[in-house]
Amino acid sequence: MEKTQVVIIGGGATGAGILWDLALRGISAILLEQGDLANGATGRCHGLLHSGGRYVVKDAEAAKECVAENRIIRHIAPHCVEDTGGLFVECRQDDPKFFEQWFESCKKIDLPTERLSADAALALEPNLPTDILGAFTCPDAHIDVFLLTQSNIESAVARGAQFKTYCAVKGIDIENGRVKGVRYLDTLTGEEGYIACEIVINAAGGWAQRVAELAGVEVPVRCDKGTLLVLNHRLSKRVINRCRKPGDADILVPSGPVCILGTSSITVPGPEGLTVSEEEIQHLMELGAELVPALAEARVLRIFCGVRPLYVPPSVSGAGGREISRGFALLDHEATVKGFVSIVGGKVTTYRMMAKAVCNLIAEKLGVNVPCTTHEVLLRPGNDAAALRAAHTLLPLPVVEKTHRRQGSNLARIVSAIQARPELAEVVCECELVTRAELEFALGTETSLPAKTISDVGRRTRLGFGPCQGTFCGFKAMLAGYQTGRWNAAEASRQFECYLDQRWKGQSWIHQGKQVEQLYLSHDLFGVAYNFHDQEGR
Amino acid sequence: MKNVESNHFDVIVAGAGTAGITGAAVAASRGLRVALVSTGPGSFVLGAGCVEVQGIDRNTPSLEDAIGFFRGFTELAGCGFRGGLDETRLLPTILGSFQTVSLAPFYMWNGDPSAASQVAVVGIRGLSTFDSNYAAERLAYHASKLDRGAKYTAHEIELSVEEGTFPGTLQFGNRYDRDVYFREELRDALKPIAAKANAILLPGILGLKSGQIEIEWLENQLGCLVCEMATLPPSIPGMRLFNRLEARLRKAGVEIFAGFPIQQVQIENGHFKGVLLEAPARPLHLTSETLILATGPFSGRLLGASSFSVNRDLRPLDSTGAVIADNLYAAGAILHNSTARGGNAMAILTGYASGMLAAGVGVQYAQG
Repeated sequence: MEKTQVVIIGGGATGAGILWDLALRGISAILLEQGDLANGATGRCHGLLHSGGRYVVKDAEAAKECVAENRIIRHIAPHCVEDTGGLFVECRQDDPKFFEQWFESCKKIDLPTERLSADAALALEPNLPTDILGAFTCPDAHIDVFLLTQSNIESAVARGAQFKTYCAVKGIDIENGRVKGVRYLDTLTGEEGYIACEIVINAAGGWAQRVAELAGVEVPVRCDKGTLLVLNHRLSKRVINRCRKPGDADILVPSGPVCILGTSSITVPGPEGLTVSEEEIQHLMELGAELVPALAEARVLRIFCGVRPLYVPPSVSGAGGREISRGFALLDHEATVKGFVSIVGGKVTTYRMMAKAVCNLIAEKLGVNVPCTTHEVLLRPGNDAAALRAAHTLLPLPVVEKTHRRQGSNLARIVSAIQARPELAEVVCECELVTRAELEFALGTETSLPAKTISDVGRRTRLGFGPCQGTFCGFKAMLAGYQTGRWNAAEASRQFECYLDQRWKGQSWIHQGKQVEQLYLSHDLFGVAYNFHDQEGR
Repeated sequence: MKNVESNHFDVIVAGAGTAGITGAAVAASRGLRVALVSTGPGSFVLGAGCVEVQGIDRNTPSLEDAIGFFRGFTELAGCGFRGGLDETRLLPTILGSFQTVSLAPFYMWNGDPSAASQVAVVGIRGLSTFDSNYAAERLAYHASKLDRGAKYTAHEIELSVEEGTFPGTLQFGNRYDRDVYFREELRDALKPIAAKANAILLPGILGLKSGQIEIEWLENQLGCLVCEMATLPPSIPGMRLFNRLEARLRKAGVEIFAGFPIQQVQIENGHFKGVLLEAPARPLHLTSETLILATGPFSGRLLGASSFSVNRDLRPLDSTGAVIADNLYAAGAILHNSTARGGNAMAILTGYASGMLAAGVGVQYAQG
């Protein structure tokens, strides 16, 4: 039987942040995640590090939190942040009163912004509509949510914390009104386990309500679906926001080689079984094209959706998705179940603050008198100059840069692998520049974040995130998993079938343009030419 | 017919996939002056051109004639297809599955597990898109499930590579065509394996242009069957098939305009006049008596629609059901907007029928 002080349920940014915070305070913890890390709302968002501008008019508190956390995350996780900057665009068809209100509100909370004329804004972002009235700058940025979550976990593991992916919580053991432990099921191996603990933290996002039910507690969470479109190249250098009351498809975030447009806001019954209708996509594309006209011609690579787990205090249960605060709620269920705590709502930008709030409470409960230091301890140690130099002699510059950004200090291991076996320098994913060495590292045993599926490899390395959507590199990743001994031949085939299903699903909602041809290519290759896998969703 | 202008043809065939090549071959064999216009080798780079007849109505008029013509034409091109409408073979794939086909080029045909009892699956060191252990294990599994007795063993050979490059099928294919020493190197590497097997399964590397003589040389030297599998694109067996067929068309007098996308299909008063091709300096204007449109799925926009239907004579119809042009025929995947199973059989059938129609020979064709 395993034993720890705290069990965290949920491997999104919040859960990972809690694991790291507790590790820094010397509190032992194990994190359980039913899928892979960042598999829920964390991995299905824009990847926007909010400046606060989006909430500044309606929810000054949430905006203030963003202002503070934006600064902190840039400091502690610079490798996860691409400092694109952002614009709030004054569109001709929107309410001019709102522009002034927005500008005034920013001043009140010290959100750094500058007013630009239409010409100046167009000079910065030529893809904006030519009839805009002006724009405001803001410190929005792109944040790699997968890397952020993984970095928190990796740092925590280095300090003795543990985590288990693909482990679904099956029961919370309660004795005399106090938490005693957690039963879980490893969904890949079918093995069951039990962890004895003093405290359970429910950080399950969209699944928080279900986890709470296991403890016999009610946590009202509204699942609010947001759909996002990945476009095949960057249509802007900065994050582009529409300066108006938050609505659909009014944020475009440049992200690596692509950009992401979103979102919608539709209440759904639960976090699973989400679908996207053709009208919804059409609606998002039309609105998006009002903000960046070039979008109408762009190629949509894939469409994905996630749920915002919004906390609904009983007082506002009738409100729509956009009216509910994006703030978070820390619920101490002390009165009903001692040692059970839920953290719900919030957003990626404030994950650290949420973790801090939870951990302050836990530290108090456990009588640990160590303050939070996550705002000052860097998530990743400094560069390994020797490894970086060696990498430059082995790999092309863009490959070195991307690999280093993704793998940080693990770069040394990748470099030594290539030195031992030069064939590992082969680039297997040409869109995201992933080498065979990095692929084998992600699948291997040396990493503290081993990938268990081909999609996991994608979240570790971005393999398959580009235009081919894994048609070629997914196959190579499957073979690599077989060759490194992670899977036997039958298991490798099954993994690849699951992977194709997921990639095909994300493209099946696209109804026109080049990506449809790409999808047909994948169907025809693996479905018809190799008779490997039936083509679902066709 | 008067062919005074050099850019005037009897038939323009647009698209160099299976349908377009078949259509051009048929028209040329009927003595017409043919232009074949294409952006590249069509879907050949994706596979091996194998033909499945699943999903095809066997009673379709002229299906037998079309397949017979295609077999004769590929034989002349040095990449003869084996099999027929009534045959079924299971050909191995790099994923260790079996594809059900009725016709395939001779260098694929012997992969069926009933053709040999001891099959050596051979990988090449460093060739990252093929793993012989994985393929052999999955083939053995699938063969036993299908009750076929063949035994599969995995092997790996090492071949020299050009300095500073990673082993790749394109490089090997190129060298197989040009470099006799490379062929001998391959033969010598395979010899010890061939001694203990009656068939060798290889990822497709036996040349981008090689024909029957060059490929059978290897089989004769080894004294055992050799069969290729299509790898991830670009697939060498498919590119070879394309190159051989294209060379044969040239020999038959077909003029080839490769690498030029069609800018516009010119239709006036329900009559096709010519096409404008995107060429480097200015558009290239070709005119003809007839157009065969075989530009593949997703190319319906050339006729101003994402998809369209055709009448019994393969003439495309507009949304009101009227014939778009009286001298325009459509063939191949453009007709069904996907390349599902049986796509190549349909391509051969419609390519053949459109070629005959262009030559003024009435063929009975009803869409299956």
